[in-house]
Amino acid sequence: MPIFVVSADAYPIGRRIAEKTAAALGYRYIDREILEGIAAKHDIPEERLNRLLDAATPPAQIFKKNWRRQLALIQEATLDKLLADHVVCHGLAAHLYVLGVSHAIRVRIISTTDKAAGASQTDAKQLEQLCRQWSLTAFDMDQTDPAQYDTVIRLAETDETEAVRTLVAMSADSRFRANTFSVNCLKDLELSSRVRSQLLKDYTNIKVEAHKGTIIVRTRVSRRNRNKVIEDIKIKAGNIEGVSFVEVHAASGLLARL
Amino acid sequence: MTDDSGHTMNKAPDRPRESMCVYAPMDAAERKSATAGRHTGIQQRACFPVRLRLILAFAAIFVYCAGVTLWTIYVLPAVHHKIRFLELADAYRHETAQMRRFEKNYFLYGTHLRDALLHTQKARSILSDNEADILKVMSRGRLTAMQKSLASYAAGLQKLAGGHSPEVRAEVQHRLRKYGHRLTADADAFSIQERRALDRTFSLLRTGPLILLAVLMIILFAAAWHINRKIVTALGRLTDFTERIAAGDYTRITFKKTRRDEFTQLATAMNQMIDEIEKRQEILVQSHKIRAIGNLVAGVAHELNNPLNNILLTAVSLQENYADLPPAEALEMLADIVGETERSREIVRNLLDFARQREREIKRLDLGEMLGRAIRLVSSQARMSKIRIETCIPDNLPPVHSDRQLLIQLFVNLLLNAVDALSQNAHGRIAVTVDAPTQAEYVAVSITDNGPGIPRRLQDRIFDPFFTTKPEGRGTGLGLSVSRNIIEQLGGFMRVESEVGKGATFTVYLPVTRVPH
Amino acid sequence: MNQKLKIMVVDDEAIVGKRLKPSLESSGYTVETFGDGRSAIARLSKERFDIVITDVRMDDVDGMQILEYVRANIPQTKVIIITGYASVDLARRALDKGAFDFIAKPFKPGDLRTVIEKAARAPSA
Ligand SMILES: Nc1ncnc2c1ncn2[C@@H]1O[C@H](COP(=O)(O)OP(=O)(O)OP(=O)(O)O)[C@@H](O)[C@H]1O
Ligand SMILES: [Mg+2]
Repeated sequence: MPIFVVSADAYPIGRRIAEKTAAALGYRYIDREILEGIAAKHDIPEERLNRLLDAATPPAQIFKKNWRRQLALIQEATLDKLLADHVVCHGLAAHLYVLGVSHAIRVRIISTTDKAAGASQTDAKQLEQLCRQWSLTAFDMDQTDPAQYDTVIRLAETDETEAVRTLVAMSADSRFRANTFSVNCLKDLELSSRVRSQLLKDYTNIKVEAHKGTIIVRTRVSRRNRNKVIEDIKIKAGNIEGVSFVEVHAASGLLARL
Repeated sequence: MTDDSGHTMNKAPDRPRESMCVYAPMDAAERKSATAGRHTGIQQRACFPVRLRLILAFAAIFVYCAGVTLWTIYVLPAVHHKIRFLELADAYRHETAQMRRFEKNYFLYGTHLRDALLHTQKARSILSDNEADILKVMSRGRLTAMQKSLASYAAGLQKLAGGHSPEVRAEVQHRLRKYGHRLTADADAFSIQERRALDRTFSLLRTGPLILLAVLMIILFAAAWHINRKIVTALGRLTDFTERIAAGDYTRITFKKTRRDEFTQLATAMNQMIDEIEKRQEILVQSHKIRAIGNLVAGVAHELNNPLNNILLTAVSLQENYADLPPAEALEMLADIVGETERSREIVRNLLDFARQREREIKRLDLGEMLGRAIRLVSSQARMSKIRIETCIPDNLPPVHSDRQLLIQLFVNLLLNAVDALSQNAHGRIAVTVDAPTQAEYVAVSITDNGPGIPRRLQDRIFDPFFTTKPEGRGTGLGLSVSRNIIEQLGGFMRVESEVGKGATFTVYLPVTRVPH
Repeated sequence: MNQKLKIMVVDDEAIVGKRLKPSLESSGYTVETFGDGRSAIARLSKERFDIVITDVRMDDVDGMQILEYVRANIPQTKVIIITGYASVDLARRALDKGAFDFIAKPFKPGDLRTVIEKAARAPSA
């Protein structure tokens, strides 16, 4: 059965709908509660993780030292939870890293409208701009782009119960059934995030791709350290559970792209 | 093949190259050497700029006008003097006439001589008071002669007025007559002569300006003709040339002029501009190729999965049943693994060959082979969309001259467009046909699809850079513009025929290389 | 298992059939292999199979058409799709048409066996 990856422009509203959907379907609900566990395990203030996920925090506050690794840890923990079927996930930016998984239903909930009470239109625009900026910087994706989602629910057109009903109905759609291919994709994502957060302890610029147990690591190094870094990454990644083969692509030079 | 509904995208093949006398187009082969030698060669020629020509022409006109003005300045005071002199001459004649009249009266009627003396005095004072004016027209000798005879006359009169002996009287009378007569004759002759001279000057002043105008007109015509020849025609050629560039013909300007001027400088600058355009276009071609490769890689990555799957299944079977497999069967499995590995390498190699960046190298190519490679490259893409590619490529195609990768890129672009057009089509078909009439100068390669086609009104625009109907991120709109650019580099042209709902045919005409015997 | 499961393997890659047949037979299934969709459908119309394993991209009749045929005519038969052209889109299309599972190539025979066992246990739709 499917998993839901819910993203909303307003956290409390997204949370309400996601939680109700989970309850209606009897799915497990995961949200920022899991941050506590991560914070305890890696000795990071939970407050810091919360702020990291909040688009409304000023960028200077978010992109401080270690933000990549902290995000990667959230990513790792979330993907681990998603491996179990029957999950509704919200508030953990999962829509930015659960990609290419056919049984993950990607949902965007848009609550700010032109005539939204309280917030003026410019505020809404500004918030959207912040959201876009945040997702582009953190994950190189535009989370406000509706093409990214399987369904976009505008609360200006429906109410919350109706939204929940829509999502519940979608869960029965056979298109979103988990299958060997999609489960493998999710496992690959989980493994790669695990490897990445591990490597981010020592390196800042790391991209990881996984295909079954084969890992491809991309990084940027100075020419001088190249061989040493590659060796080091191979050993570190090779020791991680589930990894059977490591390939490292190390780019050198100012203009090299990952 | 090329019916009237076909839209001509480039100049027709039979359009003769305009022959140019100042700037002539070169063949592609000549171009390189000319590009290299051009900047040095032209700078060594003598410099005769248009500016200098213009300065010379205007200077000539100015000198001429100044000459005419000076002449008038010179002539007018002379006229003035003559008129003044004529006035004096008239006054003088009048006085002498009066003086003679009183003299006659004296002899005939015995009247007094006072009046005669008075007029003589007046005549003398005319001559002496206006000596300066008179001398401007008359020589001093003559003036003195006149003054002398006037003085003698006056002396005679004085004498008469003194003594009155009859013989003296007769003798004086005789002398007075003689001088008097000479005086009036002189005065008459002189004023008549001067009047004639003045008339001549006046008539010259009347006709002179007409002649001057005529001469000025001739000078102006000459200058205009020269300017027209040098500037307007040169500008016209440069206009032709820019139109040619706009049409995609990047033949450089060559110089047939023997001297340098502003136009050769402009032409040099334009040639540099073309160099720059070509460099940019090369970058465009390259970057679009990288995009095309990106598309092809997706197909190839999927296509690789089949041989990889075969290898994996076989290897695992071998591994699992290693102990109980008969050697013959194990060998067969190993042979399968080898074969599938080679197949994988082949799939990748074709793409790598296309992707590798090489120096451009124009050489004789087998068109059929190039088409085959292009089709091979897009085949996995086509297979993904369940598109059949049919080919009708005769053997013994005439050879074409081109750069290998450019030619392949051209066909890949057109094939990928067809694949894109057919992505929603359940029975997509692409036909690649080559038509090479034995005597024709062009070989025609048609790529036909049975997709949605292109509406007439868009048929011009699809070749424009950045024109695309595909969603953002899917198409750059550079494919056809780059393709047309490639074709023009190869000296060919492209046409599109399409009917909405039935499909589209892109036909590429490439010049055939003829080997001279 | 009181009765041997009958499995059909359809793939235009001959090696797939060649390797899967002995591998699956050794697990106690009856296996028939076909290299094209047309003969596979002809066979399906005569014989009942429990599971059909088919490639998607084949010339002429492709895996999707086999899937449609099976769903329309023998709904109790389960269809497992194997393809080298796996994508989110294709997977969702196949599942929408009623495929039991969707497997991306390359896979190991063991992976397939797991899926077959799952299919055997699952109640027929
Ligand atoms: N075979 C065809 N059938 C229908 N339309 C076509 C065909 N070939 C080209 N076109 C139209 O011409 C447009 C321009 O094509 P062009 O190759 O220049 O750019 P593109 O294909 O959109 O982008 P790119 O080549 O970078 O992917 C296309 O967007 C499409 O609308
Ligand atoms: Mg194109």
